[in-house]
Parts: sequence; structure tokens; C-alpha cells
Amino acid sequence: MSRLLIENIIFAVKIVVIFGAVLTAVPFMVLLERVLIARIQQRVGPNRVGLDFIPGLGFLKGKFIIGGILQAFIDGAKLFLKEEVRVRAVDPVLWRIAPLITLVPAIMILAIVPFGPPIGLNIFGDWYKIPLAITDLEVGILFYLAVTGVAVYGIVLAGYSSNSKYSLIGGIRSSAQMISYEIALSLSLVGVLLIAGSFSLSRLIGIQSEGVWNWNIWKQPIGAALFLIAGFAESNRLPFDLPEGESELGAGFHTEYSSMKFAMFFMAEYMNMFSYSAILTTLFLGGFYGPIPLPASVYAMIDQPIFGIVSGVGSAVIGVFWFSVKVFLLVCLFVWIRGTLPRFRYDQLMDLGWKVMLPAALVNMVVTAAVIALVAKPISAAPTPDGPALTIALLVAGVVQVVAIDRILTARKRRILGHAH
Amino acid sequence: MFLKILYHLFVFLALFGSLMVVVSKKAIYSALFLILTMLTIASLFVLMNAQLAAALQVIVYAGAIMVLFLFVIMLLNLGKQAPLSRRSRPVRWLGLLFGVGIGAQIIAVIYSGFIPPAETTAAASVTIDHVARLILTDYLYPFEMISVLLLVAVIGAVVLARRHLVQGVETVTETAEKAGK
Amino acid sequence: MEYLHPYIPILMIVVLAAAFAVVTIIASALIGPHRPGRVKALPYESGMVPFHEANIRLPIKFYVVALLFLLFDVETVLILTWAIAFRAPGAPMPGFQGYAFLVMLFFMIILVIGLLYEWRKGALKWT
Repeated sequence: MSRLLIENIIFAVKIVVIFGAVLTAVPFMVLLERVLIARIQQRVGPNRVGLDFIPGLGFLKGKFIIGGILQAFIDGAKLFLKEEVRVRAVDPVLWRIAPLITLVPAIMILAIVPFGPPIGLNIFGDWYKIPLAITDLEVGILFYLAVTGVAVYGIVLAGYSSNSKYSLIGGIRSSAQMISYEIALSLSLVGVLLIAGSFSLSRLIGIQSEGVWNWNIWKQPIGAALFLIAGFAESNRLPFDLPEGESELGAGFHTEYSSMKFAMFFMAEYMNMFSYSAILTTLFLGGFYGPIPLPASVYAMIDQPIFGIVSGVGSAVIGVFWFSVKVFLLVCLFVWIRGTLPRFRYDQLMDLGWKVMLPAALVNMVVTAAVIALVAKPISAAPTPDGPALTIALLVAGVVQVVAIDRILTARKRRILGHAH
Repeated sequence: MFLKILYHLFVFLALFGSLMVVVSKKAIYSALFLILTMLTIASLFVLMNAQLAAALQVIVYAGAIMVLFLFVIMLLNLGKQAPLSRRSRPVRWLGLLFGVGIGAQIIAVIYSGFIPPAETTAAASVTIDHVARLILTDYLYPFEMISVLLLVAVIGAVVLARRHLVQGVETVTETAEKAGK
Repeated sequence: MEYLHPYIPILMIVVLAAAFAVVTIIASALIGPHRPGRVKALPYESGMVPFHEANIRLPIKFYVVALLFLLFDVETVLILTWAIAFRAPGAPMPGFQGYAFLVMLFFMIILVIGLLYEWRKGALKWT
């Protein structure tokens, strides 16, 4: 078999494995969200459809495993078996393809997420280096921005074609919100790109290796905060869930959807949550690198070829572990914020996007570029971390900016409140 | 071989999409087929190793311009029916004549050798930072002029919409109706 | 050809995602019950009979936001491209970073003028 064919088979296998893993993770994320929200609101939460559903496993209930562990899976199966209510849509064709247009981009983002360091695999006597990311594009970050940009259409079309006022208003609100925050989202990444000098995610991770002090969050505290907030807005989650604000708009743009079509929107939301967390981890929180690097001798020991077939398994396992931990904590943050904050008003939301986040991102960009021009040298060919000088300089600049933003916002708040009284 | 198949697939989709943009009766379908055309053109850029151009094509055209188009279509409610005005017969023939003329021109340009064939343009392996640096050095003047152009566009947009922004809720169609009375 | 290699999985994942979505939707539609009714097909209106079509007109602000988004999006992609060139090795001239910084500052100041203009004129106001 030719090398190219084998590499393509490896691609296909990676896609199926990663897609399957994330698809399985979605019900667990739903469950996690329901359990955490229940705890925050001092409720019991899902505790019925557990392992005692399966004969012989009931003894595990209440010990280590949450009682309702199968709830989300059963809900998915229920949605699958439900009747699909077809409304008298404005346009049945568009109404049918809108969920597809929402879900496909959500899945596509998974293609660039790096899950761990590469492993070596011996196939028919040849060694193949397999990165634990589906692919690594030279334009990785631009690909991410492009795909999130296209995802708007599913929501616009769902709102437009449903022939329902709630859907229409939800869809148009949602798309206006998404495009407003997309500017801030793109500009929040400029600082990281300035430091890395590349769009490629492998390079962006490479410069964050060798310890927690090299993570980009120290160099770009403002960038990370802006990216996080814009991520909430882009995925339409509380406190930015005006498009689906239950008390005003029913379910927003997916009011008229039921059965599997509704499940598509639902899955897309959770997959987006996952990919935001994954991209945030990759760009700012060191990706799959652990906080403290192990000595090289340890890596040499755990990465030895096993049976002459695979190598690098040890660091791959460690990498995937740290990646999963970070993504898990970020998903918990998503849920925590949903359980804590109230919903924005629409004018507040637009104000935040255009009048606070956009200027903050621009200022951050200029400051970062100035600091880099003063302190840093041109990047090296291999992705290696910058020295502590750049980190300290950017951290100081970031703290100064945080204080300045706080001062300005406090003054603005006082002014607005003064007008009101 | 595989490359050829992909190339022909994308070319077919791009042509099909642009044809459907013209033929579709509903404005929203035209817009969606235009998005398809943009995406396939981006894929053709990728085939030519113009990765930056492909990404920017999707971000700017498919991601931003077409959102604006869809908003306008929704705003003006063009979706319901956009009856084509029945033009007189001579105008139709004139349109056909112009269409054929432009088509002949395009074909003539393609076969005149003015545009180099795809194989030669794809060969150069240009990295992204090289392109980016060219923008900052050789093409500095157009680059800065873009910002002026964008400034003009921002001011134009605000001026056009200003009356409505002050009044708040009036829409473009309502103003158009008033103007017609 | 080498440069196309990273894009093969993109093609694969698009096909897989579309196939997954289409197959699950069709399978669900085939398996699930289907009992249409006249009232069932009505759009949701908090339990009322809908009193007119949903072709309500939207405020022009949404349109302005889309236009401003387009303009700032063009700006953003140029800035992102600039960011890549900023620290690239092998600078074409001495003091390239300072030069690039000034180029971007000029570019940005002109756009900030636009942002301030629309701000003052109330294009960003949602009340």
C-alpha cells in the first residue's frame, strides 16, 4: 500500500474516533450541566434514569456515579423517536436544511483541535508520525473564524423560514449578536497571533510548552478574557441567550422545531461549547501541556516503543489527560456562569460588544505590538517558548490595561447612573 | 487524477451556483446559491495553494457580505414573492445579445493567454507570512487606502441610516412607501 | 500536491458531518410517528390562533449592524494578516517591527475615527 493511502486511512480513522468521542461527550455535557445547575439552585437534579436501569449495575448508584447518568442518553433516544411536527413553514426546503447548516460547521471545527502530542505508529515496517489532531492547517485560526462565520446562516434561516414571530425575532437577534461579537472575537486573537507569528495551531501550542509560566494567558490576559466573553456570546449561552430568552421569545429561532431537527440545534450548541473550550485551551491555557513539565528522562522512558508498534504513548496519554481536564473545567465555567448571572438586556449586549470589547481589543492589540517591538526578537523557525522578559513585560502591560478598563467602566457607570437620577 | 476530479467538481458547483443565483425566483435562494458559489471558489483557491485567499474569501464574502444580503432580504421581506416585471420583447432580445456578447468576451480573454493556466499559478509555494509582508511593503499604499475606503463606507452607512436611527423603529420599506405617496 | 494534504480531512469531515445529519434526520422521520393536523401545523403563538403572518418588519438597526460588521470584518482580516508578518523571521529591512507598528497605527487610527463617528452619531445606540 502506498504511503499516501495509509495516511488517508489514518485521517479517516482519526476523524471517526474523534467525532465519535465528542458525540458521546455531548450527552455527558448535558448531564453535567443539569447536575451542576441543580446543585447551584439547591435542587436534586436528574437522579432517576441511572445505572440501576441496567440489571446488575444498580449497586453502583449513589456511590461514585451520579444517579441520573443515563438521563441525557435516554433524552436523546426519546427525541429520536418523537414525532416531527411540520409547521406550515414559509419555505419548507430552507426549514429542513437550517439544522444541517447549524450542525455541520459545529462538527467541522473539531478538525483543527489538537488533543495531544503526536504518537508514532509502525505500519508494515514504516514509522508514521501521527499528530493527535485531525489536521493542522497553515491557516488554522482563519479556518476557525471562517467556520464560525458560516454558522450564522443556520440560525438566520431557521428564524426566517419558520413562519413564527418568535423564531424570526430570535433568529435576527441571534445573528446580529453573533456578528457583533465576531469582531471582538477575531481581534482578541491578534495578541496571540503577534506572539506566535503564525495561524497554525501546532505552532501556537508549541510556544506554550515547558511549563505553566509559558502559557499565553499570562501574556494576553485581556485577549483571553475577551475571547471567553465573545465565546459565550457566539454560542448564545447565558448571559447572552437573548435569542432564546424563554420568558420573551419561546425558544427563539428553534421554537418550531421538534424531534431530531431540534436535537441538531441542541447538539450544535453543546459541540460549540466544547470547541470554544478546546480552542481557548489551545490558544491561552497551554493546550495539552501540563502545568509542570516532567524531566526529559521520564518522557524518554514512557515514550519507548511498545512491541515495536507504537511509540510516544506515555506523553500522549498525559497530553490528552491535561487537555480533557482543562476543557472539563472550562465547560464547568460555562455552566457556573449560566447558573449565576442574569440575562443581559439587548442594548446592554450591543453596548458591551461594540463600545467596550471592540475598543479594549484594539488597545490591547496596539499595546501588545508595542511591547513585542520593544522587547522581543523575531521568532525562531521551530516553535519554542519566548523568554521570561516578554512574559513579564506583557503581564505588566496587561495588568495596567485591566486597571485602566476598570477605571473607565466605573466612571462610565457612575455617569450613566448620574443621568438616570 | 483525484485533483482533477475535485477541480471539476468545484468548478461545476461554482458554475451551477452562479447560474442558480440568476435563475432562482426567490431572493433568499439566490443569496444561498451565492454563498455556495463563494464557498466553492474558496475551495478552488485551496486547490491553487492560495490558502490565505481561500480563508479570506470565506470570512469576508461568505461570512460577512452574505449576512448583509440576507439581512436586507429579511428586512425588505423579499422572500414571499419577488415578481419579475414582464419586460417587453425587444428588451429581452437585447439582454440576450448583451449576455452572449459578454460571454464571448470572457471566453476570448481566457483563450487569449492573458490569464496564465492554473498549473503554473499553483506551482509557486508562497507562505502566508510572505504574502502578509508584501502587503506591508510593496502594497503599502493600497493597504492604507483600504482604511480610508472603509472610513468612507462607515460614514456613508451612518448617514444613510441616520434619520431612521433617530426615529428608531421606521423601516426602509415604510420610508420607501412614504416617498412613493 | 503536498500542500493539499492537510485539507483532505476537511473534505472528509464535511462529508461525514453532512451524512450524519441527513441520515439521523431521515431515520428519525421514518421511525417517529406522523399524525399531522391543521392546528398542529400552526406556528407557536402562546396558545393563541396566530393573528397575522410572521412577516413583521425589523428595525433598520439590524441592517446597520450588519453593514458595520462587514466593514470591521474587512479591517479585522487585514489586521490578522499583519499580525502574522509582524514577528516573521528574516525581516526585509532593519527596524521592520517599528515600521510595521507605525503602518498599523496609521491604518487603525483612520478606522477608529470611523468608529468614533458612528458612536457619536448614535449608530451604536439601542434604546
